Amino acid sequence: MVRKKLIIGVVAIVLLFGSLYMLQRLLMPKYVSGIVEGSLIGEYYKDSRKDFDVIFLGDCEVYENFSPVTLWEKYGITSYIRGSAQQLIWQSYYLLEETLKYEKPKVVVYNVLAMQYNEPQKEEYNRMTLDGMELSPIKLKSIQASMLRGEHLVDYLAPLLRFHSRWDQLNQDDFTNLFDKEKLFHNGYYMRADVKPAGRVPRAPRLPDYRFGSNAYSYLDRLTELCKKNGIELVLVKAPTIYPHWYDEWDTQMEQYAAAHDLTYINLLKNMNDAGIDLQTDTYDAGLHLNVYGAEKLASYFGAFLADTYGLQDHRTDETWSGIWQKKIDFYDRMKQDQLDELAKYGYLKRYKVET
Amino acid sequence: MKKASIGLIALLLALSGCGNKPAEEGAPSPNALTQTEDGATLPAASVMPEQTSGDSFVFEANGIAIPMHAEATPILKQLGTPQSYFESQACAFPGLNKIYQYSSFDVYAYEKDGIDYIASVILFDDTVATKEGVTLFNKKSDVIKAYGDKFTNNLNLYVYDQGKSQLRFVIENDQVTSIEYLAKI
Repeated sequence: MVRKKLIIGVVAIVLLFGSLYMLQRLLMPKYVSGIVEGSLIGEYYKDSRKDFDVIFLGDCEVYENFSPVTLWEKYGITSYIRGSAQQLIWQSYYLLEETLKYEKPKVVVYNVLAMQYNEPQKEEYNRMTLDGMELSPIKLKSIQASMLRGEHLVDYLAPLLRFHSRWDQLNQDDFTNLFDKEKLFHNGYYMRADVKPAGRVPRAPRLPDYRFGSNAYSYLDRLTELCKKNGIELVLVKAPTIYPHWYDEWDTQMEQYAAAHDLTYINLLKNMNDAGIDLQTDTYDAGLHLNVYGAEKLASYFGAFLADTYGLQDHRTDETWSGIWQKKIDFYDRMKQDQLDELAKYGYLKRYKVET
Repeated sequence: MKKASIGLIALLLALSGCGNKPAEEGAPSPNALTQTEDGATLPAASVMPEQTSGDSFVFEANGIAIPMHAEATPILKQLGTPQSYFESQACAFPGLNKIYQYSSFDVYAYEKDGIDYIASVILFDDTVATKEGVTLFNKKSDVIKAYGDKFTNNLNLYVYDQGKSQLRFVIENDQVTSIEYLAKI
C-alpha cells in the first residue's frame, strides 16, 4: 500500500514537472522568424567543436558586421561571434566567462558601443541574451547584473512565469521548434543580403555628460583582467557603422583606456576606405549595420590585422577543421542565394525579416 | 492521485493565463522607439499616443504647434518638406524611428499601430526658441525665470516634467547648450 502510494506520488511529481517543462518550452518565444536575434546566444552550444581562435563579443555591431566565414575562407581563422541585441558590457563579460568553460580563444574582440550604457536598459533585450544562456552560476550572475528595478531572478530562471500569458500568441513556429530550432546564423553572424544606401544621418544631440559610467568601466576592467589572466589578447573595436553616433569624446576615452591598459583599440570608422566599405552598397539599413557584402569586406580587412598581429594559424590545411567549415560555407552560400532569390522575387526578405 | 491531478490542472490553467492578461505581458514586442541604441531619449512603448497637448510641453515653430505624443502626419505636413529624412529600425524590434531634419530643429517620430506620433524635438540653433522664450546660449537664470525651479538635475542636465512630456536643458558653464522636448513614459 505504501509502495503504491509512493509510486503514485512519484508519477504525479514527474507529470507535474514534465508538464511545466513542456509548457515552458511551448510558451517561450522561439525567435525563428521575424525577430530572430533572440536565438543568437543559444546557437553557440550546438557547435560541436568550440576551440575557436577568435571570439567576438558585443551588440549588433559585431553580429551584423563581421563574417566568420570570410575570416575562414581568406585566412583560415576560426571564429565565433557571441553577440546579441543591445548586449550590455556585463553581459559580454559573463558570456566570456562562460565561453572560457568551453574553450580558450587566442583573441577576444570587444565592440565598445555598449560602453554608453551604465545600467540595465530593457527587459526585452535582456531576454535575448539571458534566456539563450545555459543555466549556470555565470548565468545567474549575468541576470543579477542585468535585472531592472521590479524584476525578479525567478522570472529569468523559470521563464514560464514571465511568458505564461503568451498562449494566445502561439503560432506554428512555437510547435515546430518546440524541442530544437533550425540553424539561423553563421557562427553567430546574422546575414542580410539586402541593400539600403546610407544617406544623411541625423545630427548628434549634445549630451549632458560624455563620460562612460563607472559600472561600464568596472566591467571593462574585469574583461581586461579576465583576458590577461587567461593569456588572451583583447582587442577593442568600434564597428564602422555611422549611426547611432559615436562621439569623439567617447572615442578619446577608449583610446586612453587602451593606452593605459596596453590594449589595442581600433575605431574602424576611420578605416572604412581601407576596408573598401561603401555605405551606398554595403549596408542594409542606411548605415546602422553592414549587409553581407560589407561584413565580408570588413572581415577581409580585419582578418589581415588579426592574422598579422597575433600570428593566428591558418587552419585551412587541417582536414578536420576544413570539413567542419565546408559545411558552414555551404550553409552560408545557400542562405545568401536564398536571400537573393527572395529579394528578386518579392523585393524584400520575406522569410528572413519582416518587410520594412 | 485525484487531488494531485486537480492541483496539476489548476496550476497549468493558472500559468496558462486564463485570467486577464496585462498588456505588458507576453512575448517581447515593444515599440521600437524604446530601443534605440544611440542613447537618444525617446518614448517607451507604454505611452498612450492620445495623451497629447493638454498635458504635455509643446514646441512651436513658425506658429505650428508640435505637442509631444501628437499624431505626426498633420504636423509634418504643415512644417513642409524637411531638409532631410532618416529612418532606422532598432536592432531586433519592429517599427521605425523616423527623424525629420529642419534647419534649426529635428523632429523625431515613433510608430504605433501604423500611425506616427511625435517623440521628440531637438533644437540645434538659437534662431528657434521654446514657447516660453528660451533659446540655446541663454543662461541658467533665463531657464529658471521661464520654467521655475522645479526641475530635476543630474550633472549638466536639467529636466522639467509636464504630464507625459519633458523639457530637457543641457547647461554647461552657465550656458544652455541643448534643448530637447521629449515624449516620456
